[in-house]
Formats: sequence, C-alpha cells, structure tokens
Amino acid sequence: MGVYVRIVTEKINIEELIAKVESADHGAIDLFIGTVRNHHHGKDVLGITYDVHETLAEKLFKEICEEASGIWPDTDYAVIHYKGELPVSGISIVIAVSSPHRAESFEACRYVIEEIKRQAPVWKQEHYLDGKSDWLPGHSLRHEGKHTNTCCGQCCGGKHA
Amino acid sequence: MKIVIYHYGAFRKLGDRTDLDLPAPATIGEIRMSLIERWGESHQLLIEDSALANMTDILPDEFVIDDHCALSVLPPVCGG
Repeated sequence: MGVYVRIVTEKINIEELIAKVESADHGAIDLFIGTVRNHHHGKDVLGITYDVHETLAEKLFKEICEEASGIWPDTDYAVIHYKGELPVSGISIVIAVSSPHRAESFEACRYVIEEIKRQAPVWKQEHYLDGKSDWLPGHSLRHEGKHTNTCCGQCCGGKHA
Repeated sequence: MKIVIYHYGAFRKLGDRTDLDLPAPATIGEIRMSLIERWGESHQLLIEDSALANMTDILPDEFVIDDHCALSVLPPVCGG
C-alpha cells in the first residue's frame, strides 16, 4: 500500500499525482478533482481562499488513506490539497486511487474525499461578486457527532444539523 | 506560562496569533475560556465549536498544559 499526501501553494500537477499511484498490477485509477464553483447559496462566487493547517492536514490525509486501505486492500493513494487563493474553476484538491480492479478505486476515492471534507483542518473563504467575503461554516472537530452551535448542517447527513 | 495561539479560518480576522499569559498548569478547557474572555462573547459560539491542537494532535478539554507552548485554534472545517 502506498500513500502520498501534500499541501501545495502552486498549481496542482495531476500527471504527477497519477504517476504516484501507477502500478503494473493495478488495472484502475480513479481520480477526484475538486474545483471552485461560481455560485453558492444564490451568491455569485469569484474565488475561494483555502486556509490549511499543513502539518495536521497532511497527517490526517495519511491516516484517512491508511483507513481506506484497511477497508479496500491492495489500493494506492495520492492526495494533494491547495492552500491559497483560487479563481473559479481553479483546482483545490486532487485524489488518485489505484487498485487491481475498478470497483475498489471508485469506492475508496469516494471514502477519502468524504472523510477529508468531514475531518481535515481546511477552511474556505469565499469571495463574492459584490465585494464581500465569508468564511464558510463546517464540521466541528471538537463535537464529533454532536450538536454544535455553528454546524453547516450538511456535513454529517443531518446527524447534528 | 506563555501560550501562543495560532489562528485559522474565521479566526484570521483577529490576526494571525494571540498570546496568552496564564498560570501553570492549565487545561485546554481553561485555555478555551481565556480565549472567550480575550475575544469577547460575540465569538463564544465559534470558540465553543472550535478544537485546540498542537502540531500533531487535537487536544481534549481535560488535557493539561504545564509549560510554554504553541497551540492552534481550529474552527469547524470545510475542506475539499
């Protein structure tokens, strides 16, 4: 099992990421690419600033990939997350998962992005057409699975919304 | 003891860091209360939902700090 994780401040190189999980005995690579959307809750979005606790985030990405590998054996992982400001369509995260057959790659890749969204110390500040900016609500790392004051209401399938 | 708290996410609007001077020892819960006192009640809900961490781990409220250190305050996350 191979795991490669990085936080970067330059444009994410997708080819480099694919190369990290390529293997002669793996017949599938699944790729998730997260990009900046031009709208959110009815507001026109011009870009997003990503703030990241780099040390903790890289540690957590590695732990999530290792957990996934325990569920889907013989899978390899590469995760890169961007830190800094991105315009609309900018790439914020790329996850590559390889496996001998496609089913494991699809499932493991979905698992990794969902866990990163729920656990990783990453924050988004959206910048709007009207000149305003907002830090987005999210999932509390303190109140795992409990009601929180500022929950986004979407991160746990309504569990603590 | 001196505790440096580095800010992330929504706490960036308060600057990059806050320096606390607290009697040793202090629990993470007590440090959290000190942040509420420092930043005011308008930030209380967000502070209560935020985790405090060192460079490697998120620390529970009962964790004891007994010497100078650097911590981070982590508001609710929304990566990806």
